Amino acid sequence: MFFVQMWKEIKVFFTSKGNLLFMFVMPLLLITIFSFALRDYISADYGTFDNGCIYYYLNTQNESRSGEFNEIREKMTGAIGISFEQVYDYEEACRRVESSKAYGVITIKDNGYDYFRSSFNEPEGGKLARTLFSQIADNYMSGTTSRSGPAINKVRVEVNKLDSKNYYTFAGLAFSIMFMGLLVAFMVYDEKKFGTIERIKLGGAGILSMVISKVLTGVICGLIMIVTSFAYSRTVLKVDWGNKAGYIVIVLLCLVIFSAVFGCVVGLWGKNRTMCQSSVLMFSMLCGYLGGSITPLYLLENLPVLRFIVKISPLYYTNRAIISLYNGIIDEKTTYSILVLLGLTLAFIILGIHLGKKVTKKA
Amino acid sequence: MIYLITIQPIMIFLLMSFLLPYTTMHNVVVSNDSTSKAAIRIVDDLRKLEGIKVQETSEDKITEKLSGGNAELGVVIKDTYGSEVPSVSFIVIGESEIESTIELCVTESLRTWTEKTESVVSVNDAKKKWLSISNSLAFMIFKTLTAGNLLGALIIEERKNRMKDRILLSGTSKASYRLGMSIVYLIFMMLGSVIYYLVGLILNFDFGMRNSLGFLLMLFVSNVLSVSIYVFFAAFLKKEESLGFVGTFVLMPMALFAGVLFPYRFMPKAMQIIGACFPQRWIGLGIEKIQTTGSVLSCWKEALMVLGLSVILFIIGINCENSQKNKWRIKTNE
Repeated sequence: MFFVQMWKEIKVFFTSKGNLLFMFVMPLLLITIFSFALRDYISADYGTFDNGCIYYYLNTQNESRSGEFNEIREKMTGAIGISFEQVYDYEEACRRVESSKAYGVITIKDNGYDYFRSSFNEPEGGKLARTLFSQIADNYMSGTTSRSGPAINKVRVEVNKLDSKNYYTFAGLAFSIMFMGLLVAFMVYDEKKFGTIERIKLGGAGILSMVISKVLTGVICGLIMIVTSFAYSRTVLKVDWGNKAGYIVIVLLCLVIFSAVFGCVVGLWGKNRTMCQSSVLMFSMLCGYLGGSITPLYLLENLPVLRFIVKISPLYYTNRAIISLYNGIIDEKTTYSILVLLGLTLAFIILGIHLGKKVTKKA
Repeated sequence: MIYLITIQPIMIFLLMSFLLPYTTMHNVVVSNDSTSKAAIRIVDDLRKLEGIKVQETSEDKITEKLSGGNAELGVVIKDTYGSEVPSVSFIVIGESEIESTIELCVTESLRTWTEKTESVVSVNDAKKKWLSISNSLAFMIFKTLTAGNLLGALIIEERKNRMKDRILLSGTSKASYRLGMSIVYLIFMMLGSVIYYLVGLILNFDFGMRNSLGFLLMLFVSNVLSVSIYVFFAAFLKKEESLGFVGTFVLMPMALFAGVLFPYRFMPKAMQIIGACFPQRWIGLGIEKIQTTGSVLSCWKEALMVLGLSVILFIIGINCENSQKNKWRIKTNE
């Protein structure tokens, strides 16, 4: 009986054009848009010092001071590539700084330097250049500049650097899987709406087998989404899933099961289609935002309060685990992720059983 | 209505300011196993660099942080046997924009790690601000533009229940009736914008402007556009529910290219070019111009473009509404 029901669910599911579109197009669309749009941002290529310029204004006759400034200037130009331009009209230079034409104006005086920066729109490059200049100038003033420090060793690590393509292949796929719960929610809700639960009961099959068949259909849909995304990312985006691809699929599969069970519970609980739709969409969007499927996870993790709030999202654990697995590391993140997802699934199963009993009673 | 123009936008504003924190700050991880003065000085100097966020961690975690995107560069400081100067190593994956900046900073610290004297550089003051208003800006512009939904719904409803015809019978001209209605809604929307602006001011958000009134001015301009957009679409739609599609399928994709979810300046050129054709981007660009130039007047071109588009949409909306209505009437009579 169960297999007959299962076969019917699969047939119904795969004959809907909307479901097919959702299953094949949505993950590919999300992966493509996000990986394309945030390409430069994720590679941290901010152009921090692009067209960076600092004006300097000589207000001293002291040659050693201006010689010292020239040394600092050369060091900074060599290291960070910003230019220094001498100005003769201080007021005009300050105005140009406030119009974002330069980072600041340095006035060279007998007893030190005055640095003018815009009080309202100083760019990141300007802040960095200013603090670096202050540090070097202070070092010169302390008079111990002749000591030569040891050389700095540079180690280039050969691991996959996170870029938008590999990040959003997984984050976008995980986000789409969350939305997949909507299809299961609709499938379950429609049974309630059209009164088919009564007929199923009359046919001898329990509500449990009906629910399981719908969850399994959702799981098949999720698996197809994973396979489609895998093929697309490998062939079009050239993303290598690495030697831990099997583990990545296991984590994603846990997410698929969670999403399907969640959708099923919403379908049992929802009073109308709109309620089911908005509940799944709101939950998925919130999980996506907090879990790093829209804004990269590392940005959220670096914020003081938000780094604690993000932990309420199951996608946070999924994305974190996948990033590690992608780099070939199996650690506690993978375990946490699987435990959190299966734990939440169990919680929703218990809730679903409770709701299922209510629905059966009504029927 | 009060909820829609006050509480909801403020909640979205605060939420999005946290959830879309696209900063351009660079992250550096430091592992310091040395207790020497020089090591302390290096970490201290790195922390003083504005625009660089230093996180201390253990050496074995550095690669994980770098590969996860949490940091761009790792600095490992260790004691050197028989020397008071520690050894310093940089760990990087690929290229980093700030590698040479950090190298210069560390080299300078290693050269002069004795006690620091008073700074010889005096810098003018700048007020400390909280989050940047730019985090949620594109999202708030989208929200502002969709606020006209209520006006659109009212126009369709009045047309459906013939209330408009009754009002016109009293001698009010079509244009003045629609204009009056739009102005009332515009005032309410502007009130919402003022509240949004005031919350930003009270919570000490960084507007990045000399005079933040320029920001409010551009919000008012987007309010005008919102009214016109919905007057325009209401002329062609028969059901209030269809207005939801305007937000989802017209304004949202436009907003996506104008930087609602991703920072516009980091988008690929192709997306930027598409985004530049949409009014959401004109509003955003106007605000950016006020920020970079410090002058409110610098946004005149963008403000004029938005207002011009608003006038065109409004006129088309009023004219087409009349012709559409006649068509529908003929169909009904048939």
